[in-house]
Amino acid sequence: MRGRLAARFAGIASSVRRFLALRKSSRARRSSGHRIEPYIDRLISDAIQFNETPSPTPKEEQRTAFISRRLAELGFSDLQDDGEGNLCLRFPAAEATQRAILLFASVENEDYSPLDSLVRLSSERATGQGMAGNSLGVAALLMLAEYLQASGTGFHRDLTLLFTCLKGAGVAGSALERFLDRRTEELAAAFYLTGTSLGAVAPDPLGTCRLAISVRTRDREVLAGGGADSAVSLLSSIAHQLGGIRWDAADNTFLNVARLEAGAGYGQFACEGRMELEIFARDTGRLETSRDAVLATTRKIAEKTGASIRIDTAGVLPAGNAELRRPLVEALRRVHGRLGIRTRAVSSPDPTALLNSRGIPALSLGLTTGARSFREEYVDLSPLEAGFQQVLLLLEAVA
Amino acid sequence: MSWKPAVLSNTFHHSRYGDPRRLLELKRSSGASVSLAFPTLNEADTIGKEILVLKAELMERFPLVDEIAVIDSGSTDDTRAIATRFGARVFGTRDILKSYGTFRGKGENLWKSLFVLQGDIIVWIDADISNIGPKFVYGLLGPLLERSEIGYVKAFYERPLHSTAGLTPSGGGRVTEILVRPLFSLFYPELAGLIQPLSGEYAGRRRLLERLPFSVGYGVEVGHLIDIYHQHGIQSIAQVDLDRRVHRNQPVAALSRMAFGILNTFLSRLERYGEAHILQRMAAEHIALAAAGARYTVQATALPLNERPPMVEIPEYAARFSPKARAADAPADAPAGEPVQPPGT
Repeated sequence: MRGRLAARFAGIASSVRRFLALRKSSRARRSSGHRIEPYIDRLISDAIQFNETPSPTPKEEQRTAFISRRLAELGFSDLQDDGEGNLCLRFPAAEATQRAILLFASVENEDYSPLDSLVRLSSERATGQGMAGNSLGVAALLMLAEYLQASGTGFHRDLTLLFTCLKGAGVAGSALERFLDRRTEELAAAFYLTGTSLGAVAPDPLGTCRLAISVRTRDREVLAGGGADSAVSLLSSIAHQLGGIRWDAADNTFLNVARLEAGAGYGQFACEGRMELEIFARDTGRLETSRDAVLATTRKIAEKTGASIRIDTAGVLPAGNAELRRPLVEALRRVHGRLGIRTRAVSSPDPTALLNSRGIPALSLGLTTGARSFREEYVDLSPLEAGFQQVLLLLEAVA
Repeated sequence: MSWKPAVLSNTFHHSRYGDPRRLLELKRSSGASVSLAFPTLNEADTIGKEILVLKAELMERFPLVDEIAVIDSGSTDDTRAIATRFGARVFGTRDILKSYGTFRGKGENLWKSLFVLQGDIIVWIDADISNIGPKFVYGLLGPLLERSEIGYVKAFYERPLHSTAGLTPSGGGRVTEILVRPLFSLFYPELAGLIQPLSGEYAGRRRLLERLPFSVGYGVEVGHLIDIYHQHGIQSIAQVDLDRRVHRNQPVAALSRMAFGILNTFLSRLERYGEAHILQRMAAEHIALAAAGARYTVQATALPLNERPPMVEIPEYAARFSPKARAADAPADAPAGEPVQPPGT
């Protein structure tokens, strides 16, 4: 009886959710004038197929082949490949303009799994590892190209669609950074399309630095008493001491233990372990100072125990530039208001800060809602139409 | 041994048909229409993606497929709702040709689908594929559009097992290798050239399919192959490499019942074509044993050899699909397609 009631309640709740989503997408349709509804299923289809394409492969060849094939099928013959991991498609404005608009998406999926990245699709959501990340962004760029071509929509500024790769940003140099360093066109604004976080606006994103710490303590028998520290106790001690540091008076800098992997068994030796740390800071200078402090503290603790230690910088994103972002943030809030999307301010690190650091106004745009957790990653289907209308309206506002 | 099965000359890779514009041109010049159908029973986990991806690619972007339908045998999960949401026509087997009753089994779905689908070429795809892509359909369509002497195309692929331990690179096709290939080798060596005779993805011309009897249960694929071999010859069969198919792995107990159904159909075909004579009446129950401690209990499953006659013998079908009825159904401004004759007829 209880089971039947629960099932009935779930059914009613699902119907209500669908009704609300339908009302919201109708509102989006009415207020934008863009008829994109027929394209949404194609967007989901492309996102699914892209998500299931293996990554990483050398130069992400399989994923860039998918993009090239799709654009060729759509009749685009002028896709530019810079040989640095960037595919670029340009939509020139009717009249020559000084500064262009860049929309970009990142092709890689560092969490790709042959099994878990296979997508399951219900009426309401698409579930699969990677779906809440880059796959929707890439599919949205492909759909934008298809829509602009089919509808004949044009803008006052040149529009560049860029399929790039963010891996290695701030460290070895990402494909995006190489594109930005070599570009010849001036950019008036740039937008990064990504899966979830529809409605999230980052006026002033934090900078972040990710550190990967590997330790090897003196050899130690599993379950032996006394003697040298194990990797577990050493890494715990480092995490504990770093966690106790107050980095600045305003609490604008903080540290997070993102991952700690150590212990005996499951292919792991008691003397070996690995920890990943994330440092967040409001400004890039503070970020660098804090990173130096973390490195020094960590090395000092390790030296005391006689352990060998290796610290790699896994990624760096600078803090965003609030002044540069302000006009785009205001435009995005207005677009959200028109579409009935609830806006919320966030301060999480944002890849578009890489463009801010080069003097380019830039923001990230989430395309739908969803969740990204250890156990499950999904995106909601209903908000996608509003998410895509958001991109078109924002382009109308700035391009 | 220098002999090679003839079907190896009709063996292709899906990439041969990867240019959708070329296939569209072939389809237009043949005048054939194409139906895609999924036989389903509780496939809510996978059916939505299959329909969405194939509809987006092969109906909207490149209109190779004219209709997508789900033929459902009474799912109790969300299969029907999801299929409808993503744009398929959904039919229940009980609602098709009601006066002929309904059997349970995939073959029943396939047989009844012939009555509701409109296409000159029918593509059947299993609904449990996790890694669906357009190649599953255009790979099967390609040989039929390209070569008029081919009437029936089977898929083959790597079949990594999908289990709690992740993907195991091989191990699929156990019933094929242990049962079907030895039987084909003994009685129909030409059919042993089929790499995966039991694959659930195949396509055929209506004029060929409507003349085949359909085993209702597990034997439908083997029955088709033997009947087509006898009626039209091995040269009418082709096979296409689709690279890889990820799907659920069936437990051995289910495979045992599958083997029972296949063997039953196989033996009936041997008798029908005078190639063997069974001297005793065969039982209609599959018997398994379940251990509970030191005790064993018998688990008998009724798997009778139910078979549907060729659809063309059903009066309602004949009335609906006679050349005259089809011409009357055709749009006034569209030229009636050249009827595609199956090889050998």
